[in-house]
Parts: sequence; C-alpha cells; structure tokens
Amino acid sequence: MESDLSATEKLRLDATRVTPYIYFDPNSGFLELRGKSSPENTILFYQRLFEKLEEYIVFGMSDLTVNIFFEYFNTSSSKCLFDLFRKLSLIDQTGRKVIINWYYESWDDDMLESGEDYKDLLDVEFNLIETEEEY
Amino acid sequence: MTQSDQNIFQEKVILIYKGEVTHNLITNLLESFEQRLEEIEPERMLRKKCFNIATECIENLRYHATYPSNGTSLNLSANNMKASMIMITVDPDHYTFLTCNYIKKPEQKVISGKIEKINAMDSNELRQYYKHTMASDALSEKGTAGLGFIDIARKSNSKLSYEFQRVNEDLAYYTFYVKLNRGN
Repeated sequence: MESDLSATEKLRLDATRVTPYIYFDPNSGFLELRGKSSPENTILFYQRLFEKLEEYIVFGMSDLTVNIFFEYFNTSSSKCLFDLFRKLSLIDQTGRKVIINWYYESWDDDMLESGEDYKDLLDVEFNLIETEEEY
Repeated sequence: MTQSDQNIFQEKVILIYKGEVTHNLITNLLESFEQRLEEIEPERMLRKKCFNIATECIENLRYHATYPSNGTSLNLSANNMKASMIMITVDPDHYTFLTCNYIKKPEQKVISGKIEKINAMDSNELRQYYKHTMASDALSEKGTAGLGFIDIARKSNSKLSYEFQRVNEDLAYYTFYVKLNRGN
C-alpha cells in the first residue's frame, strides 16, 4: 500500500534562541527535538509538527523512534510536549510501535523529574536516558 | 547596624527591569540574565532553576499584567502606566525573584486562590497537581498552561508570597515574590 505523499515529506526546523531543532522523517520513522523551547506563540510553533503527526496517525507505516534532548522548556511548552506524546501514544495504540527516548544531562535532576512525570502519565515505551552530552 | 541592614547591603541586584514586557524583550533580558548567572553561580542546577523561575515570572507579566488606561485619574506618567517590574537579587543564602504589576481587581481572588492552594501542598502533592493540570487542561487562548505558579513552587522548593495594594475601584497593584535557597 502506498502512503499519501504529504505524509512522507520530512519536516525540519532549525533551532532558534527560543525554539528547538525539530526533525521528523516519516519514511524512516524518526523524530527528534533538541534545544530550548519558549516560543512567542507555543501553539502556533508546534502546530506544523502536530499536523504532520496527525497525517502519520492515518497514513504512517513505520514504527517510530522519538529522541528528545531538551536543555530548557517553559510551562506552556511542557503542555505542548504532553500533547505531542499523547499523539505518539495514539500511533502506538494503532499498531505502530513508538519508543520515546528522553535524554537528560547527568546533573539535571529537574529534567529527569519532568521525564518521570511524562512517563507516569503515558502508556507508551518511554526511556529515561542519562547523558554527559550538552545540547 | 542591625542584622537586616547587613542583609540589605549583602544583597546584589542581578536583574532589574521596569516597563512594558514583550516577547523580544523577554528573550534579550533572559539571555543577559543567563550570562550574569554564569559569572556568579558555580552550581549548574541552581543556574538552571534561576533561569526557569525568572522565565515563568517574566512570562506571568507578559500574559497577565494589565495597564491603567489613559482615562484613569492616577496622575501617572506614560512610563509609570507601563509599570510591570521584575527584580532579581542574590545574597549569600538566596536568590529572590520579585515582580510587580497592575491587575484588574477580580484577578486578586484568582491569584490568591491559586497561590494559597499551592502553598498548602508538599512537594509530592505539587508534583501530582502539576501532572493533573498538564494532562487535563487545554492551553488558554493566550497559550498559557496554568502551570507557572506550580512550576515556580516546585523549582524553588519555597512558599510563594504575594500582596495587593488598592489603586482604584478597578485596579490593584500586585507584588509577587519567591526565594530560591542557594543551599538547595
């Protein structure tokens, strides 16, 4: 079965001072978010990724690996991340395996705690991975 | 010299701003604040907590401050009408975050209700409340998540303080402050 063309287009947004790098490749089933998130308009910023994922819910074929490396996000973004993870859970529940990897720097107890909060709320494989890397 | 006089002299202002709060201004203010923190705070976790708390405090001003209209008889200069303010100070034991802004009178009850509820919770209850709010409430039209005060309380591990001063029948001047212990 052929996937809808729009669902196979990649999404790539470069990082800015207040928005994260986002890379989504529906063909290989890979999503990465990296950096800081405190956009002027959080809903507007995440809308493009959400639209791509909604297409993926219908047309996407592959399992998904999702890597999250956040240095900082504000509370408005934290809500949007939860909505993102909920969409990913829906993909998982409809037959494509989703694995979310939440990376946090070894000294950053608050980022670990945020990851634990999401893991606790979601019914999807959610790995908390300690790293020495700086994002 | 009393103990409290000595404390005042030991306190250093690391960020102060008064005026209208826009997103670009927040970004620039926070960048210079982050650089200043690099110079004065060796502990990374504390630097990050400071940055988090400062961001949420400033965003509260951006989203929730109101300004007296020209028609009010407050005898304020144009500058003072846009009188949202943030000040962050450091002494050997604490960082202190203070914001001041005008609010509409009915907001008083909303703010005090939220803060009293949060102040009555221990750290585990706060964590559950944050998760519950994140999972159940939609973002407001302004894009706010209703998580700012809870996040500040969690990151600071301190009680939140506030007071209101009457301005006129429509407006109050709202002061908020919180401390972050440097020994956390």
